[in-house]
Amino acid sequence: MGGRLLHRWSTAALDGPLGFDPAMAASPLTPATAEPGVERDADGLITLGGPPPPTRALVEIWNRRYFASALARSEVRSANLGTLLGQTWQVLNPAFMIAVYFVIFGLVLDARRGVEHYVTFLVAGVIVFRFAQSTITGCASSLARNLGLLRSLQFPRSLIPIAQMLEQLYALIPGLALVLIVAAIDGVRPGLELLALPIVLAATAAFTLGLGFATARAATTVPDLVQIMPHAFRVLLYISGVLFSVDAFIETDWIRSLFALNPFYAAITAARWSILGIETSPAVALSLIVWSLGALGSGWWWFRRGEHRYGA
Amino acid sequence: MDDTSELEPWDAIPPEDRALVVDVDDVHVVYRVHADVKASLKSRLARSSGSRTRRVHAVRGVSFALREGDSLGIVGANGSGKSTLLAALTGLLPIESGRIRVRTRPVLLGVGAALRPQMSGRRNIELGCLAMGMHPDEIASRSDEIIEFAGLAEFIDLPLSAYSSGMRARLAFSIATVTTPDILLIDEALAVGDEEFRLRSGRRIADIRRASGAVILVSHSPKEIRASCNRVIWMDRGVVVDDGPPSRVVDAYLAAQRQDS
Repeated sequence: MGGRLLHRWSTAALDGPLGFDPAMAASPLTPATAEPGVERDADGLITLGGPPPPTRALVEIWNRRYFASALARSEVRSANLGTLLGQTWQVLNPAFMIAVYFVIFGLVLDARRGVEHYVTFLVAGVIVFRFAQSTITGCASSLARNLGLLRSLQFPRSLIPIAQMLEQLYALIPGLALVLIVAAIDGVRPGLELLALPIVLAATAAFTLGLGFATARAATTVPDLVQIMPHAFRVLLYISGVLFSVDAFIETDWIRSLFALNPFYAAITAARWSILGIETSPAVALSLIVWSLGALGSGWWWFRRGEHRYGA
Repeated sequence: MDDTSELEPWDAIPPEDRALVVDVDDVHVVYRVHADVKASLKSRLARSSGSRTRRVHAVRGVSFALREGDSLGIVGANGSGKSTLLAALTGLLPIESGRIRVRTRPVLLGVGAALRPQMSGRRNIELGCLAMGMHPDEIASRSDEIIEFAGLAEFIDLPLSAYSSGMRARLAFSIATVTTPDILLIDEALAVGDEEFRLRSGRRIADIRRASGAVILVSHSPKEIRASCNRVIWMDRGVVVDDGPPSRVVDAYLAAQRQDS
């Protein structure tokens, strides 16, 4: 066994948070060659100091994108496991919910008054709102649910809320199909605005992910949040005009623009504009853009500041 | 005896000829926790103002350096700062003062590792490999390797919840070490494995050392430490009490433990 056994890395590089360059490992005796973004000192070492800078973190997240989507898909799969109808529930569930809302709000409370294509209007609102709600509530409990993963493997923790959002995005696909089918039956003739739907949904995904990052971290110190959220979303359901048209009820312009400050309202209204061509104020678009960038940026920043504590 | 088996090729090379892999210099770790005293709802709510947070100075001025092929064992009573030190070495836990330098970011293998209990062993392997940054194309070949190493072929399609704690630990260790890490940190993760797996994991640790990496092993098992480490530090209340060859330090630690009880 004597002599220097310098086995080389024949395996793929371990892409640790600081990156691991196989070329570097090939000769431990010569100082490592330059690795982008990583400063090495005379000993060929890197100084550790808290989580990596945002650009580095983004690269790492991107490198592990398959992990996020695999995690999301496994969640979608297991969600309806053991039920007789299996994945059909992905469509049945929102459909039943919409039917109940339609009876209560559309027929009994007559929210249809003054709203063209009320059914499509309702379905689009419920589907988008459900997406936002499930992403945010899912994120809140995501770190606790994935404790096993967090404790046994090292990866950027941001991937857990991201996977949560992706899971809901996958679940949104049958929901969107439902919206389009309903719209076709309802006699809606979509215009060019429909092409903007992916952008509207991307912005919605961004702001819900930003809020998801924030709730994920908050729930690690205040787990009670998970209990409060359903009630908060019940309130949001009513003040975001999911079931009725705010425009039909409120005449004053400045009060309407006050509603636009609510990102859930902005997301739903933008989606309806895209699908139904309902005229909306530019304040809605502006609000959605500001929220999606602002919430995502600050939510991620705050989430990363607590990153070392998750899984402890 | 046991000690001769640890004479790996690296031990024959004087330390100064081996490149530095980890350098820990006067590291202090302080974290703030909420003191969980029995409290009324009123004081619980008042707590959020931050009045009840307590500073825990878990690691107080620890220094050591590891060179290629070194395997360091850390012993110490519960609460001596061993796990905190490992967490700081991953770079995710901020340190109060001092400096930690590494060649690559260490891979930490924690306790009670059960990735996703409701999923099968095979799916857990896939997910674990992806989490470590592997490309999906690579996984098929790797997962056979992992299954074989973990010795879990007949159980691999059962959900993890049906595994014993030892089987889970085996699976997690096999996943985490499949791409021979440069620096591996093990926190009590092997404690639940059986004798056969202990030997296997010992061999893999030796592989890492031979590949010119470094290993840090926190363990309460003197046997395991003696078998896999060429150096041991003994920590007590955040400070290094002793640092030296396994035979001497482990014996001193065990003697002190016996005295305390």
